[in-house]
Amino acid sequence: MKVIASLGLLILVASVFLGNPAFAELLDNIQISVSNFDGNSATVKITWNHDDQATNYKIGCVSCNPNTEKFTSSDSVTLNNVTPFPNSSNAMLYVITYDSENKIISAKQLIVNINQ
Amino acid sequence: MKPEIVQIHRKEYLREDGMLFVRTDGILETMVRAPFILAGLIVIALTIPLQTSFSSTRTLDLIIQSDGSTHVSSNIDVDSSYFELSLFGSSIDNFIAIGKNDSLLFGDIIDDKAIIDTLGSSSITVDYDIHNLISKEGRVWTFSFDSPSNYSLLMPENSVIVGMSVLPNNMKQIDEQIKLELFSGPTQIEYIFGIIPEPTTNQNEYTLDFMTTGLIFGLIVTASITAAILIKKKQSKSSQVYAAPSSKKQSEQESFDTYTIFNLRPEMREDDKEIVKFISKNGGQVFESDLRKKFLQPRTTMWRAVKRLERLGVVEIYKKDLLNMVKLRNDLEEEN
Repeated sequence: MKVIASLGLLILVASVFLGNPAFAELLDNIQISVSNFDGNSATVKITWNHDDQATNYKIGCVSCNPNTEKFTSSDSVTLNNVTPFPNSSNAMLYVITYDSENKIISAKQLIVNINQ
Repeated sequence: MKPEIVQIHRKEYLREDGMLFVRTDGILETMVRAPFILAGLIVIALTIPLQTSFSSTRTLDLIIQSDGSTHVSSNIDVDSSYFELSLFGSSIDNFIAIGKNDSLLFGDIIDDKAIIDTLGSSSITVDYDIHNLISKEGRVWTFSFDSPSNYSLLMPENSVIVGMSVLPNNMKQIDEQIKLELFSGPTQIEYIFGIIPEPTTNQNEYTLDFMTTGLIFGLIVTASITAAILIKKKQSKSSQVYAAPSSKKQSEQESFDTYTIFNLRPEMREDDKEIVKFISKNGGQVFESDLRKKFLQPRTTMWRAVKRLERLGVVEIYKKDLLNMVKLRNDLEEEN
């Protein structure tokens, strides 16, 4: 009986992971695409996995001068005129998730090679 | 010629109000010399720091710790035996100065200065922890530093930089940490602690990872379901195998008990045999009241029947919860 209960629990957990993407880890799956690179700046589109806990997202560019930031409640954002660090082709971006009380849930640093 | 001693009368220099007069013959000379003496003192005061400030910073490396402190490591060229080092704050811990041949140097910290006895070393290495460079508001930490020279800054693990007042000369990613090469001058960096920095990847890699993960989970679920079905089938077979002899044995035991009783007591009345069968079917013991209900007999009639069986040694009667419990005896053969 215990074996059956354990197996049932395992199946339940597995089905939760498989069947409901909302339970995935925050910012677990981030997709980045770079376009329109003109030798100095580029357009970067960032898409991430949806999460019911997060109600708002802040996306920023640290390597841009001055630093830029955007807010969105959707699961993707497009940043224009993203510039890399001097002497480098890497741009430093970040994504922060906020809950309904505007508290930070999680954050992730993104190092993006915009010269692709 | 005898020297003549003339008595000085101090009263001659005192006026009626008691004021004291002093000779002022050298006052003019003293006033002339004073500026020169003062100038000399100023020159000496200026010369002392100059003698100890002939130094240059070769390297300056800062490491931000996750607790908000900053570790400072600096290699400095010096040319005097006592070197006064300006620290980057007054809250200092774990100060260590090392000279040539890795000799530990004595350093005396006063506020934001350290007086170091270099023991003749031309180059020293200084390490210390400082708590003045980082502040925190909410979840956002702010590193503020006005550096006298170019320096490197290693960010803490799992930190996410969300703001920089100046751009670094260079940036490297070392495992889970980011190392910045920064210029001299004021710098302000804001960061929070989040998840491990994500290296540059493309969409295909993410898709592949997701598919691989899904495949692994699918296999696990399939294996689990199969195992559950197999185990369930095995358990049901086992229970059937074990249940069958049990029920058979039980029925045999029941029939054997009544059969034995009837063989051992052939004189038993037919209506009494029915009572024995009923008791046997109910686990070997029943209340007398249940027997009355079953066989619809008056109290006295049933009581006589039970007592008849008791006299035959087939049952025993005892009280349970103030009721008469009738139980088949196990030692029937022995009495016989």
